[in-house]
Amino acid sequence: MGSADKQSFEALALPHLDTVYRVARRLAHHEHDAEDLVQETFLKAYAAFDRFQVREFGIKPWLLKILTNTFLNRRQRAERGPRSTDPQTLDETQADEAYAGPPDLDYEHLDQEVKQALDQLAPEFRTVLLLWATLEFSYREIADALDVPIGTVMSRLHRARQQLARALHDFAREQRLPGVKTQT
Amino acid sequence: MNPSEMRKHLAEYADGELDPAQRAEIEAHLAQDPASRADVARWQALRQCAHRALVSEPVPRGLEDRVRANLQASRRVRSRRLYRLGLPGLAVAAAVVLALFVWPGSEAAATNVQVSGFASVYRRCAVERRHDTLNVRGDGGCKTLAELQAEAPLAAGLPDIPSHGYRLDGACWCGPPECKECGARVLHAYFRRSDDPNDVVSAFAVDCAITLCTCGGTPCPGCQRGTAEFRDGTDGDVSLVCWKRQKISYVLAGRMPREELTKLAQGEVTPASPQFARTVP
Ligand SMILES: [Zn+2]
Ligand SMILES: [Zn+2]
Ligand SMILES: [Zn+2]
Repeated sequence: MGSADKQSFEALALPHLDTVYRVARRLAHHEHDAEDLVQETFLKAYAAFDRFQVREFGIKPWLLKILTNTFLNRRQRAERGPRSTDPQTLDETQADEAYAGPPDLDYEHLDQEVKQALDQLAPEFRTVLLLWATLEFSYREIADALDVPIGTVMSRLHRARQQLARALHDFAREQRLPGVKTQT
Repeated sequence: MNPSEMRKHLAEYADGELDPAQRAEIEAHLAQDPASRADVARWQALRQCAHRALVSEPVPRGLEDRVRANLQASRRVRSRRLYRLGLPGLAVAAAVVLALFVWPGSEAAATNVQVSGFASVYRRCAVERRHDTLNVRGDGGCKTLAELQAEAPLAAGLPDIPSHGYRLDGACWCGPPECKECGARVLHAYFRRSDDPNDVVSAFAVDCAITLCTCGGTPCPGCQRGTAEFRDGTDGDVSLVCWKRQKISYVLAGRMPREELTKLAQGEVTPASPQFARTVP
C-alpha cells in the first residue's frame, strides 16, 4: 500500500468516526468497550483497505459492516461457544404474537425511552435497528452490510419495531398518559 | 393483502420500502382509513426518534487523535516487519516518519487525577483483559521496551522495568477519565513477571502535567505522600507512584508495597534514543 493510499484511507474513513462511534456506543454498554470496538474497526478497515472498492460499496456501510461483525464475533467469543440465543430461533419465535401499532405519543420527547428500549434489544435486532436509525441505509443496504438475506432484515426490523412499540405502550401505561389507545 | 397484513406493512411503507404494487394497495387503503394514516406518521416519528437517540450520544474528546495514533502505530509495525524481510529502504522511510511524528504537547496546568482512575485501568486492561491494541505482546512475550519505544514515542522515558525480571505483556491507549476530559494522550504499557495474573506492573506515560490525588478534592489540597519527586498513593490493594520528566508525567501501578514500586520507578530511566528525541518536547 502506498503512502498516498494511507492518506486517502484517513481522509475517507475518519469523517465517519462519529457515526461509527455512536453505533458502537449503543452496541457496547460501556464507553471504554465502544472505543475499543472503534479502534479495532479502523485498524481492520485500514489493513483491508487495498482490497476495498469504494465505488462498489460506500466506505461508511463498509466500516459499519466491520464494526457489527467485530461486535458480534466478540460477543460470541465472550460467551465461549454458540450464541446463547440462536438468531434463527430468535427470528421465528413469537412470530404469532399480537401486532402492536405505534402508540399515540409525543415522539418529539421520547428519545430517552426509545434509547432504553433500544438497549434492551437482542444484539442481532439491535444491529439492524441501529443501521436503520442512521437514516442512511435501505433494507437492501442493511442486508449487504450485515451479510444476511433481505427477508431476515425485514423480519428482524419488524420484530424490533414491535418490541419498541410495546416498550412505549408500557411506558405510556406506567405514566398513565391520557389519550393512549392500546392497540392489540 | 387482508387488513391485518396491511397493518403489518404500514411500517415498511413508512420506510419507503414497498414495491409499486404493494404501495398502490396500501395507498388505496390509507385514503379511507385515518387510523392507518396516523400509524404511518407514528412509525416515521419513531424512526426519527431512534435517530435522535443515536446521534445525541457525545463522542469522547480526543477520539480521533487516538484512532490516528493507533493507525500510525500499526503503520510502523508493518514497516518494521518489512525491514526484517530485508527492505532497509522502507525502514529508513519509517525512521523519517518517526522523526516527523511529534506529539502535540499540552500546555494545560497540572490536572488532578484520582488514583482510582489509573488503578481501574490497571485492573481492567493489565490484569483482567490483557488489553493490547498496540499489538506488542508478540510471540512468547519477548518484545522489549525498546520495541515499544519505537512504536509509541511516549514510552521513551519509561524506567527500565524489564531489567527487574519483567517482560512487556501489552500496551493500549487507555487512561483515567480526567485525561480523556483534558484530551491528553495516555500510553499504558504493562509488564508481567510470572504466571500469577496479579504479578504485573502497569506503566503510564501522559503528555500532560498531572498530580495523583487520593482525596477527591478539586483542587486537591495536597494529599500526596513520598519524596518531592516521586509521589505515591494507594487504591485498595494497588499502589501507585507518579513523577514527571520534562513535559511527560509517568505513573506506575502494581500490587506491591509502595516502597517497592517506588524503587522500580527510581530505577535507571532509559535514555530517549536520539531518533525519538524530538518526539518528547
Ligand atoms: Zn486498555
Ligand atoms: Zn491533562
Ligand atoms: Zn487529593
